[in-house]
Amino acid sequence: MINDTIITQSFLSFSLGGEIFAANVAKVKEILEVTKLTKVPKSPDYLKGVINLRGTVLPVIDTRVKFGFPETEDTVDTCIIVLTLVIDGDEVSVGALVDTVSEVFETNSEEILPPVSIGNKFRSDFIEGLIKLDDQFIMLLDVDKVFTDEELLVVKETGEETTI
Amino acid sequence: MDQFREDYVEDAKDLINSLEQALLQLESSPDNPELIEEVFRIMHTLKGTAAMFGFDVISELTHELETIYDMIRNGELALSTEIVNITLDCSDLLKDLLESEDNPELMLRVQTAHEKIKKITNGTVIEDNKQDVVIFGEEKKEGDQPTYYILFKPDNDIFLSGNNPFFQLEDLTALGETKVVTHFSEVPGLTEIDPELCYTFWEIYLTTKESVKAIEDVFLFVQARCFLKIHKLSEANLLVDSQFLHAVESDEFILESPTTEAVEAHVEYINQFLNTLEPSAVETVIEAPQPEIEITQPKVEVKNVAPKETTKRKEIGGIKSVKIATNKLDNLMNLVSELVITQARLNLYTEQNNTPELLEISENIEKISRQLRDSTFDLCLIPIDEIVVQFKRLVRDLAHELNKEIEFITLGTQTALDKTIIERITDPIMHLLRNSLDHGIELPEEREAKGKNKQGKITLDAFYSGTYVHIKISDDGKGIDKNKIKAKAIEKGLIPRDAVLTDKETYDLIFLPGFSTAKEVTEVSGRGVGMDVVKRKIAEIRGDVLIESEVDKGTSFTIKLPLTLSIIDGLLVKVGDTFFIIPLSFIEKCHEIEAKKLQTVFNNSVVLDGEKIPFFNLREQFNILDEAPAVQQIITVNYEGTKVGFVVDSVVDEYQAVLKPLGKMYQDLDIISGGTILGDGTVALVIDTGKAIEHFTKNLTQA
Repeated sequence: MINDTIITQSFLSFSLGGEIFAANVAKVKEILEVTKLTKVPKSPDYLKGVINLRGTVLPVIDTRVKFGFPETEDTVDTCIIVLTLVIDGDEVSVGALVDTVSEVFETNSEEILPPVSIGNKFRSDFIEGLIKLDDQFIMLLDVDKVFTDEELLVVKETGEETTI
Repeated sequence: MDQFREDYVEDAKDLINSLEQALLQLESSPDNPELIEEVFRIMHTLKGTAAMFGFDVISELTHELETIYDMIRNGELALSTEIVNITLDCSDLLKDLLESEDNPELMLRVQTAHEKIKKITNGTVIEDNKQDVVIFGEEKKEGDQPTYYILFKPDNDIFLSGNNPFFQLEDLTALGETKVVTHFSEVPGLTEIDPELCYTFWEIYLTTKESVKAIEDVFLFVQARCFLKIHKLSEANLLVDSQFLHAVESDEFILESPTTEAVEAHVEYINQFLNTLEPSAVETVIEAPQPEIEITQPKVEVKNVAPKETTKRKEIGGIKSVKIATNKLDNLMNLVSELVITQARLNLYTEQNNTPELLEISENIEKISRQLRDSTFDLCLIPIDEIVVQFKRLVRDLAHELNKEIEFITLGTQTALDKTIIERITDPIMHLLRNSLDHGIELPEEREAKGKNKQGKITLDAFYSGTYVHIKISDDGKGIDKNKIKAKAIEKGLIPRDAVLTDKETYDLIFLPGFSTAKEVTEVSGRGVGMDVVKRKIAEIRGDVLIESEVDKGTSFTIKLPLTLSIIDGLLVKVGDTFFIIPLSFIEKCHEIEAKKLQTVFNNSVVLDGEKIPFFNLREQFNILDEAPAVQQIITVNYEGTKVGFVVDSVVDEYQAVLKPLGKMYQDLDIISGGTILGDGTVALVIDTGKAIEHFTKNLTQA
């Protein structure tokens, strides 16, 4: 039997250091403005700190650092995307700090291109695929992988600790 | 033992309650196999535990009820309202029996209950009273249970023929209900007694549906060696008649001698006695001539007991304990946490708006919420006792499997812990026990060779220590060989070859992932996933494990656990812009100190109250880069018996911290045990002082 149904999926696009990324909306819980953040000592750089999300403590990842972009000052457009990840079978909420949130768009599964591994500065196994929108390529992130990759979970006690 | 019996009574009451509930549901949907199964299961549990704690009457009664439901379950019997009624009556009876088992009135009720149940299991369901007349008129023979009088006097030398008169008595009991009167009148004095001879004889009142022939068959093999008389006393079952039973036991009813004449006279006497009983049954005889005694008797009994029952219920009235679904407790706990957080906001607001009245209200609410918090905590505490049973079971089964002899001792099982901790500590303890059994305790031969007791000993000891509970699992096995561990760790590349380790550090190697000292991997433990998981599980609930061991003397694992997970009393301090909370239970004292003084000290220690105290500056340790205020605070905390100082910018307040986990992202960060939300909505970090000191010390030695 030929499966010719086309699945339409929704994605949230956001920009980071001039590039556009997108995450499946099913993974996105909400978008927050940057609030007062408590830095946690002795944690790796990309873990920006924790915030109070209506009574629960939400860890916030500095996506810029995680993706190897230089750190910049927060602007009015800086947002926290609250994502629901699955870590070791448990659902975990994590905030991801991004430069700007653009839009929610729909796309057919057919239009998603496979990731290119050569010449890409991001690990291809973190990218689900590429979408061409207008003249730009948007990178679809496998958020479960990006934010829960082993490397990310281990709080390394390196010399470069967070400075508060 | 009394404690156990009390616990059993509590449990049994719960079981009976659920039994009643199931029965009531069963009435509306009699074909529901799940409900029947449920009733059967409850009966079974009741029976088993009753027998275990010596409630024999209850055990017997439930056994019979269980039989009914077994039959229903197997489709041999249809469930009727009658059966449900009887079961409900019985459950009432069981409740009363739990209060006092040897009350004679209750015994009568038990007797009638037994009768009713027997009727059902024998296939004759007692129908409603109106129908009684018809049914008994027509099927009189089937419902009959005539009563017989049997005199059984074995010859003196019956034992010599290889017979045992007890077999006959047993067989008779199998035929129906019996009342046996044993006679010792012919037993001679001690000097004349021949132990190989039988001197006793028996009078048996038997009620059975079987024929006289069946009774005679019982004595088939001893016929020639005994004196036997069988007389039919009545067409009805006399053994349900309390008056008759009472009379049988009285002195007047004693048979004078085991001779034919005496027996005939005796039967005559009994018949006369039965005639005197008749009037009480006369009225009912008109309605249903035959087995009337059975039917009327219970009714009379019920009437007598009924009023007493109601007064008794009132006395029991005050329920001592209530079982609550755990999710309700969790809910309450959450609400209390919310209250405590909101309380903090109110405090903050009160400070900002200096209104005396508001201050008073706020302080009052704070006091109440603190008390509420404490009582809620108390509710959530469960004694370790609850989980010890499964440990006993585990040790027993494993010891058997491994051919080891183990004595398992549990101490301090009343020590209570938060239920969430109890839930999560069970597996680690199981694992440690398995470990002790498998790797610790040697085989009996090995132990003997070492001059130890053949039986190994494992002790589980739980006790309080400050705001912590310690659970110590110790064995007297072969102990841990430090050199072996070290060699292994080097071999596996876990530590460098020239590493100098303290004893504690050496033992802690066991907890490294992928470390397993067992030469061969056994079924029981040692798949290499063990100890690191144990350590992690315990760390997840803010606990710690310590190992002490001596070769050939034994090993002990001490699990240190916080009393509760969710709310702690702490001191709110500030370093730079960040708020931290130091658990109050560890804090000794706070001192003011000039920042200048701290910069010029030697070897990181200051003299406070005449004592030299090592300290750590949190500003430096946490890489907080801004300028320190001129006057700082040094907080001395207890660390394994010594005092250690923490330097902070300022002490803000005492604070009730509702612990919120930082989440999986920070799971490897052990110096912070969690976050808490302050009145203004910012997050403060709760410091695990012990872990922090360990961490800082490590940095110090490495630098």
